[in-house]
Amino acid sequence: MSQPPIRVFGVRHHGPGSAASLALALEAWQPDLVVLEGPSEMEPLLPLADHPEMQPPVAVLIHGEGHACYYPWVEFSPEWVALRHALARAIPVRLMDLPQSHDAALEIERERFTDPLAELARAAGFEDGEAWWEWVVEQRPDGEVFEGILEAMRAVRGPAPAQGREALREAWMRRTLRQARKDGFGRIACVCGAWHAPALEMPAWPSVAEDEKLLKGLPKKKLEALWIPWTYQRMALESGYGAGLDSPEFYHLIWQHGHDGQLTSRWMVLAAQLLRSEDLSASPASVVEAVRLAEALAALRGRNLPSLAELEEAALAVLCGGAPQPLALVRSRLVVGQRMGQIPADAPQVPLARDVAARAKRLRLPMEAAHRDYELDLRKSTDLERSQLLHRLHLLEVGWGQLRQSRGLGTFKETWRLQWQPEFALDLVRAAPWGNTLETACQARVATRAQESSLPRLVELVESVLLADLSGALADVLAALQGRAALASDPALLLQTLPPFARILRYPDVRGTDSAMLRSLLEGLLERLSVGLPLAVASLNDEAAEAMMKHLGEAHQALLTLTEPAWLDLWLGTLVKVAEVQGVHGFVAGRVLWILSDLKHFPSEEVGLRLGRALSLSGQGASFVEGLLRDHGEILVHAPLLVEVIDNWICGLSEERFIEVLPLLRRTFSSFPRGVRSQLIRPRGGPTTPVPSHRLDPQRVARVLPVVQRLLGQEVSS
Amino acid sequence: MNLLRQHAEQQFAQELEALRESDTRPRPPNWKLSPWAVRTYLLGGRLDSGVEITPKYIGPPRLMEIAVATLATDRALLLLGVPGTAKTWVSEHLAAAISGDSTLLIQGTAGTGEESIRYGWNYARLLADGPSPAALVASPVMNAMREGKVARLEELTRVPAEVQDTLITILSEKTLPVPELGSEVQAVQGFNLIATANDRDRGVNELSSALKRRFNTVVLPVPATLEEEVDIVSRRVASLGKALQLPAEAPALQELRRVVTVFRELREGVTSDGKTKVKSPSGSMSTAECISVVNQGLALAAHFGDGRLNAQDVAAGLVGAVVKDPVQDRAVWREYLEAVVKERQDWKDLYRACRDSDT
Repeated sequence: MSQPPIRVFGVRHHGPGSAASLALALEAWQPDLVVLEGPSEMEPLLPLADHPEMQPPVAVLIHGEGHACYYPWVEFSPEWVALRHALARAIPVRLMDLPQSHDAALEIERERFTDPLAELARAAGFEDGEAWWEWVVEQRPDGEVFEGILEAMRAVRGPAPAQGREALREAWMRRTLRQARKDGFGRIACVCGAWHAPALEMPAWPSVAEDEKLLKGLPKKKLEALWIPWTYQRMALESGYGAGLDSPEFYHLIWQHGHDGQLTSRWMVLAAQLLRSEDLSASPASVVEAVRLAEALAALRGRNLPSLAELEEAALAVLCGGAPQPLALVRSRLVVGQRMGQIPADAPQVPLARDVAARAKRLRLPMEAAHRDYELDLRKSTDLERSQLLHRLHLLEVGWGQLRQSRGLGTFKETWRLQWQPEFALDLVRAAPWGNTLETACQARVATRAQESSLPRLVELVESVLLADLSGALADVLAALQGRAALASDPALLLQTLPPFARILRYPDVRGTDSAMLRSLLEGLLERLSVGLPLAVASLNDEAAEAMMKHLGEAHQALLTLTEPAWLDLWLGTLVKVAEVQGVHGFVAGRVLWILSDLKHFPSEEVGLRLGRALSLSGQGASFVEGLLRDHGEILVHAPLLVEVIDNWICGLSEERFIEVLPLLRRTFSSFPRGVRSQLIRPRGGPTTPVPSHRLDPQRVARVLPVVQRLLGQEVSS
Repeated sequence: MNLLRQHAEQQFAQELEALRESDTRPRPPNWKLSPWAVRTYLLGGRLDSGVEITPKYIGPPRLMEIAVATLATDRALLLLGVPGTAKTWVSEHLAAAISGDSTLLIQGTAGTGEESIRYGWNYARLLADGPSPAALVASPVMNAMREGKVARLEELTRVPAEVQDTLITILSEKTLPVPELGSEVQAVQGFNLIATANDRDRGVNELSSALKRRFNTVVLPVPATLEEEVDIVSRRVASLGKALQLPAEAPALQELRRVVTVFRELREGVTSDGKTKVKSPSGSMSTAECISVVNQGLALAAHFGDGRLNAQDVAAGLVGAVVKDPVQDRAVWREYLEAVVKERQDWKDLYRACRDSDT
């Protein structure tokens, strides 16, 4: 009996059972050509699959002219199995799908995914097609299963011809197969999605003329293809370019061990080991019970083997004691998985790297191994773009440029040192899944970082986003910031966010809408502080109190720069509340008193009264003085009353006590600027710098006075 | 009979009978129904005979499937959840469906002793005749073991730790030794145990890990949606109000919805529109507490107000339910008032009422 020249193997993409069955079938049939469903652009890349450094999951990225799509390959993809089979035996491989260069140019809506299996599944008494396919095909590897699949699909598709884009694709596939036959191949293994299988069987082929008529004059785009590393998380991503595979790591396990009848036990043991490695209890005895529960659940639901749902539910009830957190861990490691693929170092480049290279070239920033310094004037557009490029690369953790000196926002000079390291190429490849251009990649990266960062880091992230001019990503970060601020239970954290916040608000480039959102956020922060701060200042130890003193001072300075009366009022109200709390550490109480005096809320008499009261308590005096005066000696110059209070206190100290507080006092007073110190010392009778005696020449004074008056903004007296 | 409350197997006797008749699937030894029929009893459905089975549990069906499958594999079942998540309700119906008897019940308290779980003695007999089977007072667990039924233990975590541990032998060896008589009671097939515990306040006594290992745990969640919870609260309030013969009108749906919203938002830590996050107080903010706040408000309205539930009536109860810790919770509550309640246009009255009752 003569063999058919073409055999069609209908598979499920990324189905481990299909892959196992296919391996058996190919081994048995020994084809002389393997044809895969996939656009022909990938063909030149296929030999690399055999490279020793190639490690799935990987993807082929086809991109160009504003179009990009990914073809992921995992170890358990039937296509990957067929490819490896062919490469190992030096059998040629061809790709038969409509080239992406046409597909991308066609302006045909992609068909809504219809589940061809649903009907069959219903007929077999299953709830959905996936479960049925899982049961019939994936769970029992068998080289003969493909005949059955073909028949089933023939029945599902019926006699109706394919429509739209699908018709084009299948016509192209047949064209490829015809060509293969013409080229003299006699045992062609055709691997395609099960749905297409009936259309590719030779007896069902329409005439050559019919197919060619469809394929005539297709539009075309210029595209490029290259390998990139892929991850199981990306495989599982439902949106974007994911393959819609919910459980790649679980499939990986099925692929490796799925058919030895111990899958349930193996998975449960792995889950228990994982939990134990995280110091959670999961005894071997409970693994046994978890397996039994999974099987009982499967029986209750009419399945012969537990599926992932039953495995997870059993692990939750038995191993995790009903707690969702350990299960989330199990899910991320054993269901989705954290595998990342690897491509050979000499494979062609990713578009992100190309985009960066193109920008750098346009901005005349050569990628050199030697370092070079650039002084950027941000008022010039080229320099501004350069700065944005470098800031964006920083967001992707590519440290090409180092900012040499820290600068406040709003100034217009930046100094960068640039030095290109070979590892940056790899960093860019790693960042490639985030996006194809620097901007989209940064935005995606920022959106993820916004989810993970702590509150002060988030405010810094807002700053970086503004510096990198990523207004598209700002909304994500601000939303995360809002959420995090609402949950922050530590007012010290909230205080720390105020200074960067103030810097951002003073930055003129923030667009109107964003600025409004930032302002309302800041207002929310202040309101939360007014509730939380009075509770948080009680019972701090020395270290925490000193930190709090610092944060209070910085937050105050930051708020002053914003000159917004409503905010200052809120801030004042908060501090008044704090000032009334009893038992607050001297550092904090002193600093609060200073701020209240700085805001002119307390006249110096009141400050003196409170200082005296605080000093009358034993123990806290020196720290209170430090809190009040550190870095702010000028208050003493303006309020001699305070000098008197402190003076009386120091004079009243016992000798031991005086020796005790002396270091603290010294630290406080040494923080004063020189001028303040000499002014303080003068009336106390210390050495004074002699005032040089001037003899004023009234005529010359009269000539200078108008200028001085104008400088002071006064009307010039005639 | 004027019973105040009927057992599940009495109240739903007809449904159970109908299920028994149409149940053709294999039953585990000593089960009155097959696991599939038990599932139907809990989740509701229509039988081939046309009998309508009312749903006993409203929530994710998979939880009931796990519970039934657990009991079918001879593992003890622990139902965890905050108050008002139907733990006791589910355990009663499971026992009624599986054993036809939900009365083998031990209520766990700090005073629950070993004898309530194992056995006690009739001391008059004991003194008169010495230890004999006739002097032994069997516990519900012992009876369940003898008859192959499901025993229930409520509030397991309130039972002192050393008493909890008497369950270990029963659950792992399925036997209860009686050294005084030199004998033992071995569990007949069909015996099992359903325990419930509150996982929010963790009771007084944590479960020992040795005991925890012997249970499969199912966590019953709080109601999934606002509508579901409003429904549950209004039903319960209506039935409670009837029992207490409160003269007030049924609570206005709008007021009820506001109270439930407050509870949900504080419990979930985010406002119902998902836009603003809020801190959660230390209390559990359970549906059960929500019911009692509405009930209390209703009583206030009936006896001191105009009989109609309004913001003032619920405010006092609301503050009391939220502020359990006078420092932390008060801050949380004020923040919530200022950031959320104050901002809502039609909540002004509630805002004022809450502020007034909080000073």
